[in-house]
Order: sequence, then C-alpha cells, then structure tokens
Amino acid sequence: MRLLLVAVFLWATVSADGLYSVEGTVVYPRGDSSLPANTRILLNYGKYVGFPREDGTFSVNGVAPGSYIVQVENVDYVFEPVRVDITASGKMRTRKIITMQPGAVHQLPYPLKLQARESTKYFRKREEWRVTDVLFSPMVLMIALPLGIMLILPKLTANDPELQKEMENMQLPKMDMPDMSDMMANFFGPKTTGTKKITGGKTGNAGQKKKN
Amino acid sequence: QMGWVHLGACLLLISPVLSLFEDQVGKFDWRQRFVGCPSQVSLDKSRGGRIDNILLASKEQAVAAISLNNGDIAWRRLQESNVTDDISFAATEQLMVTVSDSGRSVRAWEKRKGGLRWSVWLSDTPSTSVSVGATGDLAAVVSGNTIYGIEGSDITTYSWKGVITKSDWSRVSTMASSATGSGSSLLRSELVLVTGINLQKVTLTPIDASGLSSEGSVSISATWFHSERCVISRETLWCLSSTGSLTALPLSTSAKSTTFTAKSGILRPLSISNTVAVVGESETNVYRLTGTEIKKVLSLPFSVDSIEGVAVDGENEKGVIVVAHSIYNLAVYDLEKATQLAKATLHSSPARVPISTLLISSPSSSSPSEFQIVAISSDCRIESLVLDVKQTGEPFIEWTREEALARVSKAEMLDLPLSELQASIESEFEGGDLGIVGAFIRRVTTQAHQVKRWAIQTSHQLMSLSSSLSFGRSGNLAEILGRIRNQDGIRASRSEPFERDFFNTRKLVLLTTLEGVIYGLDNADGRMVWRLNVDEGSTHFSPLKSQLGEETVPVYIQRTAVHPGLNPIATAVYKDKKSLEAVLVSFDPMTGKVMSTRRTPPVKRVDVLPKEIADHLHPLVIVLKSGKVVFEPELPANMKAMPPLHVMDIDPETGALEGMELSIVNGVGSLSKRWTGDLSFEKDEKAIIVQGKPATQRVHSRGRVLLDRNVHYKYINPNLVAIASLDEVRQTLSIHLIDSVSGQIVHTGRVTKVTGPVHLVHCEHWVTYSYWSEKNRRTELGILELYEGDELPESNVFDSFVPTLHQPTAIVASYIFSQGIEAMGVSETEQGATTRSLVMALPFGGLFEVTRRFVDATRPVEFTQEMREEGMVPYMPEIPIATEDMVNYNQSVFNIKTIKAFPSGLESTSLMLAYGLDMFYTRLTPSGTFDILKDDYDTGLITLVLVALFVGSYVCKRIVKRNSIKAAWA
Repeated sequence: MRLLLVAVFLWATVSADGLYSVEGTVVYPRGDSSLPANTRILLNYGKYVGFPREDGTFSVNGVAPGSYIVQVENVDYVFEPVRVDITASGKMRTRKIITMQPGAVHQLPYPLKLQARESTKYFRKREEWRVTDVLFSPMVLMIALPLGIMLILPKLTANDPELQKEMENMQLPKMDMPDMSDMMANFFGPKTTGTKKITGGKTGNAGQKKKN
Repeated sequence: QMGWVHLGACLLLISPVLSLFEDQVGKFDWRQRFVGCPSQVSLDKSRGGRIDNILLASKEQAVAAISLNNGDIAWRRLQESNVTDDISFAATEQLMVTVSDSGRSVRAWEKRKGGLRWSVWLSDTPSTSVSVGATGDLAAVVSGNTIYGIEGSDITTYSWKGVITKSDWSRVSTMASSATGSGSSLLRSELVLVTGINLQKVTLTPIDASGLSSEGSVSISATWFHSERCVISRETLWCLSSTGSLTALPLSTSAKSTTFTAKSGILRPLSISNTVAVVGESETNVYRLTGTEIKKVLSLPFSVDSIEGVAVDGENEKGVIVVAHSIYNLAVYDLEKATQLAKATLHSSPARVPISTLLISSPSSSSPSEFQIVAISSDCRIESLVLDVKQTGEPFIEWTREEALARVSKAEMLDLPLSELQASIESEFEGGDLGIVGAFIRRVTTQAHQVKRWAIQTSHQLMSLSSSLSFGRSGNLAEILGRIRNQDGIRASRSEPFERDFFNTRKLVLLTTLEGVIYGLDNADGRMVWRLNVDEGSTHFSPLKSQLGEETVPVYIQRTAVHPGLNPIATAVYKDKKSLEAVLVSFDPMTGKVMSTRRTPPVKRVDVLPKEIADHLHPLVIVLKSGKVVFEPELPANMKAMPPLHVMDIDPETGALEGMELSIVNGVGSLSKRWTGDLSFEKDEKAIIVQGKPATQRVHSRGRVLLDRNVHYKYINPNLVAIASLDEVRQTLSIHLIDSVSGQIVHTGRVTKVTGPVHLVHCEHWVTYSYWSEKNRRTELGILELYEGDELPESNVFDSFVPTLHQPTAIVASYIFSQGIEAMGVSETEQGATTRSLVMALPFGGLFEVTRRFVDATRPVEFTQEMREEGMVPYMPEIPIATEDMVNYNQSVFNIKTIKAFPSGLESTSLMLAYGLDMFYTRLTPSGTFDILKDDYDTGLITLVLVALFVGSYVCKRIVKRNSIKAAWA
C-alpha cells in the first residue's frame, strides 16, 4: 500500500476556515406542499443561493463573514427579508430590515424563521360594470328619488280623498313637465297638427309653447 | 407620521397606470425559459425503464430536467450564477447529485420534481478536478485530492472524507448492479474510486458507507496509464496510447488488464458495458472486452462527430450504436451483427453544425423498431427525434429547443416590410409624373386593389372566427363575445402574412447570440421565424471583445424593410478564432438568408455610417486595429463631402481618452486625432460602463416648466457619453459625462462607500445609476439631470463646438431601492413625448416598472399646495416596490442581463424585451394607452346599446304615430 488513503470522520456543522452556513426554516402557508421545489433563498440578491428541503429547512453554505440580506424567492408568496450579520468568528445576528434606518437594530431569533406574509398579488381588479354601481351612484339617486316621489305620491293619495285635498292645498310649486309622447312625436314623427292639450301653463314656460 | 401616509396616498393615485389586469395575461407578452447550453446530459431511466426526462447541467449553472415527450422544462433549479465552473452530476434511482461551486457544494435533487433532498458543503477550498458517483443513499465526490462520502437521506454534512495522495487522476465510478458479478470482492460496493499515476499504476478502491475500504483496494501496475488518454466507460477503464495500443481494465479487483493493437484516435465512452469507441481522423471503431479479449465489433470508414450506444433488452450483445457524422447525418448500427440498421439525413434540421452529444434510448417493447434519439448540436440546439429502423426516410422530429437563446448578445427590433396595401400607397406617391389620366387610372387601380385586399382579409377573419366559435360550442354568450374580441389580438395575426400592422407594433426581433446563432423571432408570440448559424461548416466562430472586455456579437442594420422592392440588410460581425480576422455576415433580417460574407483584418470598431448611398443603403464604417478605415460596401468616389464623424476611445484601466475625427473625402476615410483627455483613474479604478445615447432618440420637449411658469431648458447633447468607473478598493463610484466630439468633461460626480453591481441608463438629459451602498447596506438609485439654464438656446440643433449660454448644471437626487437590480432599461417611444419609465430586473424574477416621475431629481422636498395642484410628486427617500408593478406578473425570469425597449408606431407604446437566461417580451405603456382605445373597451356593449336605441326610437315612432291617429279620431 504505497498510496495512502486516510479516512477522517467529521461531525462539525461549521466549516473550519472562515466560511459559515446560514440556517433557518421557511414556513409556508398550510396545505401548500409543492412550494419547496420552486423556492430559493437568496443572500445579497443571489451572491449565495440556498434551497429549502421538503420540510422547509435550509442552509446556505460557504458564506464569508459579512452582512447579508436574506430573502426568499417564491412566485406565489411574499416573504419579509431579514438581515444576517456574520462576524469573523462566526457569530450570527439576525435583525429586521428597515431600509430607512439601516443602523437600527431589531433583533430576531437565529436560526432564521422566514414566514410567508401573504400571497403575492400581481393584478389589479378590473372595474366591472354592475347594475348596483349605476343605481347607487349619487347622480342616479338624485334623479331617481324625486322622480319616485313624484310618481308614487299621487298614487298613494289617490285612494285617500282627504289627503288629496290637503295636498292640493299645500300649493306646491307646480312644474311644467313636458309630455313625453309629445316630445317623441316632435322628434321622430312628422309635424303633428292634431289637438294638443297644454298641461300646466301657469308659469308660462317658454319651452312648453307648441304650435297648435 | 401622518405626512407619510398622506404622501403614500398621493403616490397610490399615480401608480395604477402601470399595473396589469388579470385578463391581459398573455395578450401582449410572452416568456421563454431556457436551461442554457448543456454541459452534461443523461437520460433519466428511473421509472420502470420508461424514459421520461433528460437530466442536464448547463453552463448557465442550471440543473434541470426536460420532458422527453414535449421538450418542456419539467423543473429547473438555478445555482449561484457568479460561478463559472461546470456542474457535474451523477444520477441514482431517486436522486440527481450535483457538484457545483468548484467542487465545494454538493446538492441532491429529487429527479421527478426537483426538490432539494439534501445539501452538503464539502470544503472551503475550491478545486478544479471534480468527479462524482452516486448509488442508492451513498454518494462519493472527489474534489481535488480529497474524497468525500455522503450517506443517508436527511443530512447536512458529509459522513467521511479521505485524502488521496500521489495520483495524477482520480475518478469515482458507479457500477451498475448487474455488473457486480459473483465472486468479486467488489460485490458489497457499487462505487469505486479509481486513481492512477501516469505510466506507473492504477489503484481501485471500493467505497462504502463507512469509507474507503483499504483491504479491498488493489493496485495494478500499469505502464499504459496516462491521465489524458483514459476514460471510464461504464465498468471498464480504457486507455489508448498515442501509438494506438488499447488497454482495458475491468473495474474489479480480480481483473487484469488486456491490451489490443488498435488504431489511434480519441476514446469516447459508450453507455454499453465493456464497450468503447475510438474515433480516428478517417475511421471509427467500436471495441468490446469479452473475458480477457478485446474485439473490434464495429468498424466505420469515416470519422464521427459524436457516438453513443444503448443496450437493447438489457443485453449488451444486442447493443445498438448511433453515430452522427458529416455534420447532419445519423446512422444506427446493430452491434451483434455489425450491420447498419438505419441511416437518416436531417434535412429539415436547420443546423449545419456538428452534433456534439447524442443520447439514445432502447426501444420500448410495444414498438421495438423505434429509437428515440436526442441530439445536441454544438450551437446548443437540443433536438429529439424518433428513428424507425424499419422505415426509410426522415426521422420524425418531436421537438427542438434553442438553448443558444440563453446567451443573447445583442437585440434589435425591426420594422416589418410594408403590407401590400401600404406599399401600394407608397408606390403611388413614388412613381413619376403620368399626367392626369394616368394618375387617375393608377388611383382607381390601387383603390380597387385595396378593396380586394380588404375583402380577402375580412373573409379570412370571418373564417377563423367561425372556426374558433365552433370549437367551443358549450361556451356562454360572454365567452363567445370574449372570443370575438380576442380575434383582433395576436391570435389572428399568426395566419396573416408577415407584414407590418396598422400601428407598427408587430416587429421582427433580431437576436445575435454568443454561440454564433442569429435568430429572427416574431414579437407577437415569440415564435422563431428563422435561425442562422453564421459558423456553418466551420468552427471558427468567436465573439468580438468590446473595449470593456465583454464578449459581444454586434449586428448593424444597413437597410430597413421600409423600402418596397429592396431587401433589408443586416450585418453581424464576429471574429475568426483561427485567423483573428473579422467576419462580416450580411443577411436579410426578414428571412435569415445570407447575402454575403466578407473578411477584414482585425477590427477595432464597427459602426453604421449615418448617410445613405445608393438604394437607401447605409455603409458600415470599419476602423481596423491598424488604424485604417474601410467601408463596406465601398463608398462611391464622387460622394458628396459630409461632415466629419467623431470617435472616442477610452482606456478602461487608466481612464485615458482620445477623440478622433473621421473625415471622408472622395469616398476615402481617414482618422485623425482631435483631442486627448484623461479621467486620471486611481490605481484600482476601472471603467465599467460606457454608454452613449441612441442616435435615433428623440426628446419631445426641450424644457421643463417650473412652478413660476419659467422654463428650465434641458441640456440635450446627443454626443454626450456617460462613463461609470468603480474603484473596488476605495469603494468609489464616479460618473463622468463627456462630450465625445469636443472632449469637454461636462460633469463628474462621485459616490463614496459604494460597490457594484452598478447599472446605468443614459437617456435624454439624464442619467440613472444604481449601486450598492456599503455604508447603508442597501441598493440605491442615483439620478442626475442636466439643465442649461432659463434662456432658450439660440439654435435648435445642438453643436458641441458652440458653447452653451451657461455651463450646464446638474441636479442630483438619490433614492433607496429596497431590492437588488440585475439589469436596468428604459422605455423608448417614437416621439419621446410619453413619460419614460425604467424597467429593472429584480433578482427574484420580477421585472419592475417605475415611472420616471418617481425617479426624478427635481422632486420637491418641501411640498406646497401649489405643487400638488401641478401634479408634482413630493420627494420620498424610498421608491416603493409593489408586486402589482411587475410587468411580468408571475412569469418570473431569471439572470436577466439586458432590458431593451424599442418604439412602436404608437406614441404611447414601447416594446420591451428582457433577456438573459430567460426572455420576456411585453408592451410598456408608461403613461397609459392614451392614443388607442383601452383594451377593455366594450365594443359589444356599445353596439348593443346603439342598436337598442335605434330599435327603441323606431318603435316609439310607430307608437306615437298610432297614438296621434287615435287622438285625432277621439
């Protein structure tokens, strides 16, 4: 045996000369088991890459001491990124990322626990045309409500002669409502020469004068 | 705090313009995913012998499985992209074990879905020679002179490691279980470490879960061994000496080496046990070791490009060999009878380059004569074909993948030829004087043509509409309406001729790749229109090197397709690897047909002359390394004098600048030095980005109106070049703006405590740059805008030699960007009136669009009511990143290198292409689609309302008429 083969058993988790592992767990929403296969852990936007195992645990290996942003890349869920600082001696410190105050320390536990915040929304909802939208718009309400009162009130009072009398005595300002059929006829039909009743006419509205 | 909420609300009001609706998915966009050029491939034979996937590792650091049925990516995992070493892998029943990052990182993937089973970090020291073997739960990796054993299924570290001393060559070999014959001491192990010392000996050591078993190891004296001339083909080590003596050593401890006098050549391993191929210069032989004897089992009288074999029905003797030779000929041989089973010529395959890798699967029992073959050509095209040995003729091509598209160098979008209609209108105006009668006749005939064309087109549309309607009869009314509406989208365009559409949004995407293939894609759906390998027939292609050291294959448009009757011409330039000459390949960008190929001595710089010669052709200006200037095609001697062109040179190491003037007299160009400058770089400083402005870029408004109704005039200098230089040691980023004609340094800015990656966009009167701030440990975005002053410049045309009224002033602002940036691009529209927007590729796969109104140096810090009325956006330190602003929604794209946008015929619309490993195309509408109807414009509803009104009024009219008659009678 000239060729020397030496087997050495190693049980340490951290490599010896200055490169470290960042470990943690990705916590997925319940019931979504297909996720680990399309998730990656990015340190400083891909300088180091890690992949979660089926149970969500991951370790990013061979990381040099420094400060890193740890981010979960997943197309379906949004994860909060965290910052991990590794000292030259291999000590880990995890904290929240506050972009506005990079110096602020808001410590988080290590190993990392990266939880899905929400499912990612990529689309805005298209405005749909709905009948209720039209009905409840203020303009329609403003027109429809008085119209309704105008139409319904006479009907209500029709059965009650006393009320009717009272209403007449109220001396409401009477409006000159143009006759719809008359208007239509003027618009579409030939010049009508038939007898036409002029409704109202007390205020002498100019638009109401029709050639008879 | 309240203030921020308020401002946030203010921003929300502006941003929705950019986001997408769910029903717009895939309407204007497409994505293509690639795995990259494969460096190692194998067929996945896991599931009961039925081959499902091709497992591969690529040069782009991807590990992937491609479905053998349709060529789609079954799964793909991207490892660290900043590594350049190839990934090597070994597959077991369940797993694919990969070694990446210079032999330091081992990962095991589930073969079916691509989930990670375990990952192990081996050592911190990188090594160049890597070998991996795996079987069952055991994997062994040789990295440098150390061997690691990894055993188990849920592990984080290796089980053992051993040092290999004194060896020139070491490999881990996997023994197929059938080969571990009885009586052999290797029975309990299926992995063997094979080490060798040149011209001395070979040592075989069995590997098992507890380590290397030194008792089982045997050393065989082997004077025939040489690390450069040996391969392991399945369970046998084969060595071929330079004199042609072939030695085989079965990898079992009891075995002895056998030597045979063969022809010299190159050893190629085969997937059949005890068999190897020797590819000579004019012949190819296949040898087999049976017992202690080597036999020549197949001899072919030609050299092959690649060779592979497969055992049929699990029996080695019944093996089948497939070879690719003479570039695109395939042949299948029976090893038992040494006869040719079938041969085929891949006529339909456009690749006229050698096939570098072949894979063949043994036929299934249901169709014993059909072989599935996967051929990977040297230009990264993966092709799957089915060859039936009982039938003659072309093999059936199941699918192809163009992996060269993962290495795109340059992209252009070209206008399509005018449609017949547009061309006829053009020609009507271009024709000479015909007199009144002639002109009238021409007018009538063209219009008759137009009517005819319209009729044909409409009938086509109706046909396709009716066929699409009849397909889905079950659909309700809304679905049918939706289908009608979609008709005028992309879908109908496929059947139409390849010509310009009304708004000129349909273009040809011209892509050059670093693999020597040029592609023409249809931007409507991303399908390949043509492909052209400029390297056909030779293997001398290599990309040019840019001044900054990047590989590039530039392409120049010499004539566009807008001239009816004249072919468009584009020219790509590359370097001949052997002679170092530059090769110019001119081709028709609409069809991909090569028109001419010319060679010139090594070039320094190539560009298009901004002047047409005869037939609307723009000649190429080629500055040779020798300093000589040539034109392609040559200029006519009687060409009118034209103003001199200016060329700027930069030494990226020292920052020395040189301005040269190219004057053309009587068709002869000469280069003379005009000015020299120096950016005086520090010792470690280097220019990393040099970016001018596209010559065609337009700036719509010359000024920016201030709040007090004064105008701030922009400094719009088309000759301005932005140079970014980075000092990695002192962590300083400098942005220099230099007039390339006069040599004037317009502006120099410095940012300290920053490192890369740096990206820069130079456009109109502004420069945006992104960098990593080491101080704040986040990505930041800088914006620099140049203004000339409050007085309107006298001339409408900028002249570098005429000093501006005032020294241009720079306004600078910087923003926090809470994501990394992989690439940055800017939208481009026809007139430049639309607000531009920046598009950034984010590392997690998104393409983020942000309007220039946010990335603006003039956003006021103190915000007043007046400013709000003007619609200004107040300064906020952070650029908000919302997932709704991703133009590629959930169609993630990775390792994007470039984002480029091109104008369309619509001012509102910019056509954007992002490419890198993946490719994504979409339309950008930075200010909304203000010049066309919204795509959710409900034509159906409006038609319905109109019809109802019409009918209603008619009915009313009838009723009124009847009523009036009644009334008259009453």
